[in-house]
Amino acid sequence: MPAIPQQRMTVDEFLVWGEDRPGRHELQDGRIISMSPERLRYLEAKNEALRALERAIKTARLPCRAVPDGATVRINNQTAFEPDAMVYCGPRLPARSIEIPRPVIVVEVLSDSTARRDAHEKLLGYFTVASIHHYLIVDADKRCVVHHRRGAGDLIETRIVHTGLINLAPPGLNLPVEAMFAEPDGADEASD
Amino acid sequence: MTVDEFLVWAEGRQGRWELEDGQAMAMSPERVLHARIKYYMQSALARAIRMAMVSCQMLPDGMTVRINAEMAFEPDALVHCGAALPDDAVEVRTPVIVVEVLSESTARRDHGTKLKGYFSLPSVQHYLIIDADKKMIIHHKRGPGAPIETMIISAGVIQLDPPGLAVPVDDLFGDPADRPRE
Repeated sequence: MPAIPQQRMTVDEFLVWGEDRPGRHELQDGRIISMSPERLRYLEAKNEALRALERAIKTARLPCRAVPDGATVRINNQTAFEPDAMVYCGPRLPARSIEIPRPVIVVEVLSDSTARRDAHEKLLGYFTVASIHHYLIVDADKRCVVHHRRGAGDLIETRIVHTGLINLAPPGLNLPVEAMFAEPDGADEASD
Repeated sequence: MTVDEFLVWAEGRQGRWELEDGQAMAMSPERVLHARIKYYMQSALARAIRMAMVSCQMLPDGMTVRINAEMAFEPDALVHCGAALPDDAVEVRTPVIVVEVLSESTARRDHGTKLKGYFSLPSVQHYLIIDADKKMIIHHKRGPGAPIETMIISAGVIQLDPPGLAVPVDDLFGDPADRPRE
């Protein structure tokens, strides 16, 4: 695999650099961060999250779309993230888009390699994007979701949700938490 | 092990430990920046308590906060209000403010397990997570209803009410020469 460039770049340069390149990358403060291969539980959780969002959109009959991982969210000139799933509303974006300009909901599934950035840097970053109203952090091991929601003024409302519905308004979706997780493993894993 | 067993086990033992889901977890050595910001925060809280003239005490890291029978954390600083604790206490049962300075190895726990754990204690009103590198504070405050109110603060004053403390962000990250003296 070609070496990751060490020099800082802007998001525009990063998007050109990343085009047709294998692997998943993000840009944090101008530096490229490669994303590691993931465990199966993480991949399953990502898939379940996307499907749960799609079902909720369908039920609510809203003009919104769920987007799987791979699309870019620009945080600022030097930082760009690739959420594990997201939702945008309004007219459908062109098929060749690589950036989602105005996501409303972004989702990250915690994994060992990403936990720090998901819980911390991304919390700081996502809420600087005005369109983002909800940031969901999915912990597939503990089977819970931390729901950060844009509140009044500078406030973010934080809920730790284990069961029931996550109210995502706007745009007006209801997401059953249990639907975010694959069937549990055997009883040997039920130690939480 | 349980928290009771853990406290006996940890007494006199080298290093700092926490208990999570019954497992003792060693806390890594800290970088200078982490240690320095922790000290600034402890000093700033002590100063804010004096200014507010409330009957609270700041306790530095070293004290244990019991979350449940199998979980016990050791915050980087805490504030406790009411009657002073006995000199030989190792546990603080009713902290009002708990503080963690984020480090590479603890970020996931600070934001996940500890967020949930600290707010499961009815006494805890504020949980501050300090990012020394980015000079930012994530202030989680118990809200009137279910949600925790979260603020990302990089300037101004951290309002900790109750118990009515005001901590200027500059006390943590400002030029040491400008910082109020002890």
